[in-house]
Amino acid sequence: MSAPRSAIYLDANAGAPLHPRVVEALQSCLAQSDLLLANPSSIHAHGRKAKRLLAEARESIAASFGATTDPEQLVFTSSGTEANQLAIRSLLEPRLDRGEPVHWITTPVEHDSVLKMVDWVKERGGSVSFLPVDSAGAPIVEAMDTLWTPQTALVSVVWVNNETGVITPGLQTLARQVRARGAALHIDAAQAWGKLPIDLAQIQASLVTFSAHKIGGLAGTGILWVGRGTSIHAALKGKQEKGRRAGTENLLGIFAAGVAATQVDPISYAARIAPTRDRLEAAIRARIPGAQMNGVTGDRVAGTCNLSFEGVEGDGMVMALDLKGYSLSSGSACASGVLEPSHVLMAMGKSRAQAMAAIRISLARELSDEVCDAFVEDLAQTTSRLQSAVANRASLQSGEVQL
Amino acid sequence: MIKQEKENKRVLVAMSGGVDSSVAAVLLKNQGYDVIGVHMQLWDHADANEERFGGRCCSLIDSNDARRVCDKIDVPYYVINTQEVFKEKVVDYFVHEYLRSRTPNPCAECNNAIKFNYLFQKADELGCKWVATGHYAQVTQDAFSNVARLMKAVDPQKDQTYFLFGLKQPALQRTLMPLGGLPKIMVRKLAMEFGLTIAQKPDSQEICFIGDEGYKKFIEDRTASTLRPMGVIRTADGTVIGEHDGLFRYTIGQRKGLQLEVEEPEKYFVTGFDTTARALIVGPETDLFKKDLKASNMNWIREVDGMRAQLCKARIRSRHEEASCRVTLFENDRVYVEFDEPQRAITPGQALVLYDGNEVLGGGYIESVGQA
Repeated sequence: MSAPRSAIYLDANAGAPLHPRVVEALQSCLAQSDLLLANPSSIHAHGRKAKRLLAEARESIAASFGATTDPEQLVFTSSGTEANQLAIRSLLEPRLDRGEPVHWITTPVEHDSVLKMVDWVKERGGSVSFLPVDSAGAPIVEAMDTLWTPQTALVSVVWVNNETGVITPGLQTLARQVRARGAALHIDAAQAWGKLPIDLAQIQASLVTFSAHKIGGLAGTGILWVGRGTSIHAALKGKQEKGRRAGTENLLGIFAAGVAATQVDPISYAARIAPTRDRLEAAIRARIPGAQMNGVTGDRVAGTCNLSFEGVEGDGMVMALDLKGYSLSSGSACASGVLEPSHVLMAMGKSRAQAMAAIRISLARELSDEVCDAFVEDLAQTTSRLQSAVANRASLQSGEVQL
Repeated sequence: MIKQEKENKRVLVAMSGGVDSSVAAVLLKNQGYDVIGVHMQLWDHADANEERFGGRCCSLIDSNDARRVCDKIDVPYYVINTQEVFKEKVVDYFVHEYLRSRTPNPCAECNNAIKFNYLFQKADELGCKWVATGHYAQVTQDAFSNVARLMKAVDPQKDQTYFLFGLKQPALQRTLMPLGGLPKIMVRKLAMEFGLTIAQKPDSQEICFIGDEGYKKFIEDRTASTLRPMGVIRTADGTVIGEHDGLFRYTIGQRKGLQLEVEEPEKYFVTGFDTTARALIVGPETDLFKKDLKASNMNWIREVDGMRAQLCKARIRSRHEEASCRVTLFENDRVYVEFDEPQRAITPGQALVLYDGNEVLGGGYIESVGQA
């Protein structure tokens, strides 16, 4: 079944739409008559051309992380997930392998790719502590002191939360403290890239994760920035990426990431998107009295809006809105697309029902006022339909016929 | 007005990823329905060995099979998490019944609590007037009164009405079962014709949440041992002839797996449970034949005259040849059933389903057997 008009995309945090410049660049790249996309490791002319493409992309991407970022500090991976896990394993695995006591501090609002490592660390004899979060879900980095042990080797903190858009404050101070104690800070900046000004030289973390499809590049391209003095414990052994991540480079993905990186402009992003987000939230507040806005007491990036509606399940909202031609998300989905309660909202102290009820609107582009208003109207109708569906089920049970 | 009509053609198709529900979805699409495929993830097999569970109901493979069918016919497809309600309404019930020395019918309970209840909430959420399943049964509706009837499938080998006795009018009036008029062999042919990759997929046989380990291990893993005490095996006259390691391991009519210290042990069958003394009662096959039963939680598909006994046919398990009987109705949805001929191994916990010709009158759960 096709939607009446082309569906409206409100799920940029899951994957931003391809940037128009990326589409153009890919088209003209693929249109070259002598296009070959050789192996960048090859010595010959074709290989050199591929290697140059790679180097140029690496430089563009480094530039978007701050003017003084050294391109050689970037390691390309298959995904943000791989970059996160490579960062964590690099710091912890050598010590765990030697049987040393290892302690890792992270937060309960990390991306699943980080949280999945909690059991991994514990199974290998390490211990894990979680920074508390405030009611907006922002990690309280000042609490690090109370969790610190002499065995603490790594602190992993998300910069911008993918579900709520809430920004973790005080990362610069945190990095300084962690470094002063001889440990490493790993920042998951996947959702910060493109939405916040980034200068890695100022933050001085040890490891920072990025992901190209969050800024309009192709999915399948993750980046781990590695600070000086931090060594990478390669999961895949081989020569590429200076031995830190083997496997023939994902040339087109990296090329597209390079193009997308040149388009990164967090100031204009905020200037364009914030008015749409504010209009949406004001209209929702006015039209749907039971709507709860999650994370709004915190500092947020411009394009993310997390909502719960009383007495409804988020997955039902997402499906019903999909049928009305809106693409958005709820909670965090597993491989089969099944909803689970959002661990982020649970960490914020919300009930399980509230954590199941959440939906996320995330914007890459501004919406026209007409689209905005039509969406809020559809949202209101969908909410009340879902609420009456619950009531209707009760009458189904009793066997009363309603026609 | 046009929009209204379009809404009325919207159908939620419950898709397991098997042949039957896949063909049902394609048939409805071809009939002009506005199909939405929904797969219910009922049980988390993540902890179990992927190889062992691969291809079973509820697994990720099945979910993807259903998704590919929806891709093929270009309709929306959603997976919904039904694990919590399934555990509460079906799995917990299943375990609890065995611990009460009854033999449960989880498929009927899944239909009652999940497919024809929870799924209708989802249908309402998605604006679907209809819910369709790949069950082999037929629904007919009276054009004037709107009263719906549940009828047997044309393929007697595949008829699934035994599991559908709990359907209530509000759900039944919105239910489509497009396979009820087709023999299974035709359904497989259609799957081939439609080019569905799952056309050769074997039918699911066992209870979907029970793996190769079997139901006994399943129950042991989920219950305290104090809830399933061991005891003696005795005959009806009180002679102790063996020991058992938990009544939940036995069902009425069972002969295999009894460790008996008697001559000719193969002549003994499980005939009952003494739950107070925690004893298993065994006896000769003739003891299995009983003429009457009481059942509770009766659901009548359409209204019947409670003042009159029903002369009809009954099935007491899924593979039971229906038998003539006389049904007396009591208050509180209870019935007393007297068969013309004694029936073998009437088992508490199993469903009693009543038929008048091809029509399903209703059904409930067997509570007790004999005049006791």
